[in-house]
Amino acid sequence: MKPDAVRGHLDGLILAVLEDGPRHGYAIIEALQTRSGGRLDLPTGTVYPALRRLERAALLSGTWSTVGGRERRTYTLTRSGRHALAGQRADWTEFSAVVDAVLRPSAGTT
Amino acid sequence: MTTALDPIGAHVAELDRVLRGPANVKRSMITEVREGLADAVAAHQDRGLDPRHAAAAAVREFGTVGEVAPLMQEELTARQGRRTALLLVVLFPATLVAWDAVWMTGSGWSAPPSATVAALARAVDSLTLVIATAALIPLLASFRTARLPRWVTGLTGVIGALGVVGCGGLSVVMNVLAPHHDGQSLAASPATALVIAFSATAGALVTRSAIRSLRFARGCRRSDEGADPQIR
Repeated sequence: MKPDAVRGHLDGLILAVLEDGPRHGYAIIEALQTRSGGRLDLPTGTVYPALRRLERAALLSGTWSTVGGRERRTYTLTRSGRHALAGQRADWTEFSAVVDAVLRPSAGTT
Repeated sequence: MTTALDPIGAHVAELDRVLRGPANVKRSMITEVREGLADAVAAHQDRGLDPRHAAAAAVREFGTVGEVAPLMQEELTARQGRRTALLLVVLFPATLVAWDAVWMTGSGWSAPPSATVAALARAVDSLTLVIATAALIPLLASFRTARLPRWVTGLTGVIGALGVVGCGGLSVVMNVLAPHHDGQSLAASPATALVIAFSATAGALVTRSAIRSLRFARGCRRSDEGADPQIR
């Protein structure tokens, strides 16, 4: 999937992979790749500013910790983040249903 | 350090060089990127790549500085706007309260102020509250909006500049017009001197932050396509 197509939905995708529990930056990138079957063609560096953006908007909370001598910033979905994710899912379901209804070949199409 | 010898270090150093923003936030973002790239290198090595190729692959997947830096700068610009707004919301009312305390405790001028000075004092009080209230709007927006347009940061700079010039200018005029008997200095009282020092420090902090807000808002390149339009 092309980067431009992914970027418009990156914030929602990040919220979704954090629904299961807290993750640090690279673990979020790996989860995005795993859940997409490796089809998300996105510069991984764009995930880090998106995380900060979501944190500023209080949809995520981020905390630093030291694990095995390495500094890690771990992100957790906040209550507002869960609400935003639910809204994102509803919007996407509605949007994809509408687009699918229009794109689907009509019965009379040969 | 060269790109060939240390591609991770060179990439991070280039990001560090081009980004502008609040020092602690920028440092935190750069550290996170460096650690993330180190994680990516480790993951590639686990899959069998040698360190050199693993580092090159991690940098390639990360994206070029031209792709990533505008997005990071956008966030740093938003953080600068939040910082300026927060300073205005906290320091302007605090300065007002501090000066009110000076007058109420009788540490100010010994003679009653003239009608002109009293009117100027009321104008400073009113402008202070207007500035703090105006700054509250971009401050709240920075917490509620993931995709914060850079003009919001510019707005905090304008509000800050108006506050410093307006309140500072009126205060200077007020002090020039105020009666000073027998060489009495306004700063003669320790409490008053403390409030003057606090006001000057607050003014300097707001001025610096407002200038940075205006500069970052003007210099930040557009990269709105990096944000999710559905999350506001």
